[in-house]
Amino acid sequence: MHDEPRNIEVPANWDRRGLPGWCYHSTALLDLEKSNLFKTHWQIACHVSDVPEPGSFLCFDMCGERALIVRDNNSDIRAFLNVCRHRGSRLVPKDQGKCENALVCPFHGWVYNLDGTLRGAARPESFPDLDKHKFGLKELEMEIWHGLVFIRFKPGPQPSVAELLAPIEQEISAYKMAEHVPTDGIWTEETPVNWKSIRDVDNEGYHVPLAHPALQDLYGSTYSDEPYVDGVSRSDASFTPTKGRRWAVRNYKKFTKPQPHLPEHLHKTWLYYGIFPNAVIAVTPETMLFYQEFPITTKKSVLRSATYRNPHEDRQQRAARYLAARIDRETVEEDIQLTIWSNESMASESFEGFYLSDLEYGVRSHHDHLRKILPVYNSETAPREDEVVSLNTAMSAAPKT
Amino acid sequence: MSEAELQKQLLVTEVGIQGSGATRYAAAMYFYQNGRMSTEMLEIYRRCSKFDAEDPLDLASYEGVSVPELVGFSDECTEA
Repeated sequence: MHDEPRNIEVPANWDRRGLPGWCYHSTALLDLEKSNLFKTHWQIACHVSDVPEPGSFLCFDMCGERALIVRDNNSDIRAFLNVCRHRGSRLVPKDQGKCENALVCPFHGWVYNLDGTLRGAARPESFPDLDKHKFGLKELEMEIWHGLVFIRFKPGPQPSVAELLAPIEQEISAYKMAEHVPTDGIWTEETPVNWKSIRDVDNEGYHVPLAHPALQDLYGSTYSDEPYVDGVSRSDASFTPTKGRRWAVRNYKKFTKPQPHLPEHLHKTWLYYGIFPNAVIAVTPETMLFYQEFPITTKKSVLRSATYRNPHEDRQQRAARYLAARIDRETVEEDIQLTIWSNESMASESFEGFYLSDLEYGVRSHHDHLRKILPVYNSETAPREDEVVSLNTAMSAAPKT
Repeated sequence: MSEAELQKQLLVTEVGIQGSGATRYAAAMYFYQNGRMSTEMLEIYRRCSKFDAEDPLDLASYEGVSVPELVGFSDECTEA
């Protein structure tokens, strides 16, 4: 299935513990996570079809940073900080839309060309001559991979997106994701948990038979997880031959049909690819979607997702897509409850921490990736808040054992 | 279409269309940078930039600001 084999074996005698509870409540650690994890790792901003023509734009906020994805007059997609060079105002206040030929800051009226260069400052006679490049919008690192627009706010340890996702490239390319078009736009919702509790739930399928009756009805015990290896995890599941006991599943199985562009083994399969630290790309015969979570505070996160479809779907495919979305909605609601319960456990002084099943090795592999970026996660007891940064620095400098 | 012709089209975007205030102002900035728009008239466009239904030519007339020839319908637009 993969271009290159990955070592996905669950090791013998692995450490079945999760992260220490304090990691879910420390504001100092969250600041480190925002700065050294979220801003330094690739993030999915949108799909190319979200900015379909020159002047189309989409805004993407994360961890106090603001990105602006815009299609310029040459139809090239560009990513900038959504920050006016004058006073730092939000240059584009709308989430998504289209502008004619230029961007105008709503604070004082500085004008920028779609290639990011400064067209002119408001009241230009009150400034010396301004170099249009020097005072242009700050361009962000951006890479388009199979139609998905990835950005990075700061340089980081990951290679290019293409290199990072090479292990899944061949399999995912069958879906022709770059040709997909939007369905319902970008969806966001705040949720009252630490972001890691969301990922802890999503990184294992051990809970599926109990928590997600629709998914169980759809693909039952065929579901399997591969852990994070070099920043990428993978899960797959195939439809069981049963008709389906639940209305949405029964009808989804009835309406979904082989897509001519997909190889036979993917005709009745849902696939999920985790991208460290906080995103998943999921593909079904009818759709491609991404979902991700970002921290706001230690106790509040935002969920963000968007679904895209094959561009030439017929009525039957549309019905199947609707039913798949219904199954997904149900699953998301169930997962949100699980994340709340999981997060609550981290506040308990009585709970002694996770003891994970082999079926939950994905959780541990994600935590191990986190520990590599921020060694302070290895501290079993909570450091003083004002010592988290210095302890992390010291642990980073310590020789690896 | 040359850039100047395009910008002239944008400069005379119909009043009332959503986003038209900013569109007209951005085009006015293009002509200012090319020496074909006065500071005073650019400021009129800036003040109208958030108000799509506000006609900058009406405001200019009200305030006695000279309207540049290039917004006249008979003006031949050439690359500056």
